[in-house]
Amino acid sequence: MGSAGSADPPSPPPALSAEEPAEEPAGAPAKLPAYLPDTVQQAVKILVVGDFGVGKTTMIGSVSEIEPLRTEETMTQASVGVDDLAGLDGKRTTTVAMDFGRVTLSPYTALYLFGTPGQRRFWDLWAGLGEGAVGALVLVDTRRIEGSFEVLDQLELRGDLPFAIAVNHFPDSYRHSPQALREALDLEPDTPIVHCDARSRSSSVDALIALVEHALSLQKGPS
Amino acid sequence: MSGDQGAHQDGDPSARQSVQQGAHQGSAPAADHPTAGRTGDYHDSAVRPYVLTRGRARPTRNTIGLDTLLVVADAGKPLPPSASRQARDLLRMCGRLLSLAEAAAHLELPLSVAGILASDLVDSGHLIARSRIPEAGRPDVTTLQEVLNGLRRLS
Repeated sequence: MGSAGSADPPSPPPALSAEEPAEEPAGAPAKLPAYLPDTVQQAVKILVVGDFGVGKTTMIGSVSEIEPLRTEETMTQASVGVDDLAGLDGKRTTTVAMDFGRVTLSPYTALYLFGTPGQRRFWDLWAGLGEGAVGALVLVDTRRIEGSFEVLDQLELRGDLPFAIAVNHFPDSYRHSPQALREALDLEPDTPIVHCDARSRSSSVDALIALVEHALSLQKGPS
Repeated sequence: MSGDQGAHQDGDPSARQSVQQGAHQGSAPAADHPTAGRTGDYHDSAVRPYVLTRGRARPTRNTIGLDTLLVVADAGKPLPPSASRQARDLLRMCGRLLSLAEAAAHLELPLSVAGILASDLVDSGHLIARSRIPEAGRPDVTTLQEVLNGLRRLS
């Protein structure tokens, strides 16, 4: 992924849980993970989906209270298919990684952000990834808007996962009007579109808020 | 408990560091490490976790997911001698509250393997799973409102 921003999230706020030690001496036991407060009773998750290099890991790093982690699954050659996975050709099995982060929202609730490639078969690698999720925040790079089409197709095909569009602004990206974007992406009138800077915590949080507000309005039913 | 944590340090130390990097090159996951399959009947280390997965494609309970929170049920309850190294590592990792995804990432286990191990450990009474969100459903209005309030406090 082009956005290696996970290495340096901008000034994370103090975490509710204990910080991990900064370094571990060679040969020492593995450092302890940053555990959740014992009061936490439930975890909720939001998927941050989008094309490769669109800034998913950057956004997760901006919001997460822990250093973003990576979980892996292997996919067989058969499922690699025709995807544009530069550098992954010729392997018999391919390890597909998913970066994720965490933020403790209250003494009772922790939010997990999973950065998921848009292609459906990647989702299926992680069993139950979309199940029970609050929704999906679709990160879009307007310089490569066609990279979002498959993601949106999958979400519309599923039909059960609330989603919102967050246009990640790169320095050289042109700022389209929401209406132009809505038409270009062929979105439903009620699908939220927000502009964001994935490097900024407050901007990323605002995008997540737009998604949760949308999920809440859908859950409450048509007004 | 901290005394035996060196047990899961036999993987390549550089593999852990590379998790933090954008490019994840060259570091074999723990499952492929030559010592990964040294316990139990399987000695083909490259295959063992997937043999385990293929044998039981689904965990015994379907309530364990990436975001299921796990914590040790009874710190004093020993695992049977037949327990795999991965199961022991997972139990040790969940000495305090942690999601399955985090435990799997820290242990460098494929999530599917960690999920089956966690499911077994919940069945055997070693781990407690905390998860309120029904697998098939969506978070309810109360939960969504709590998430919204929490995010607004962050912004």
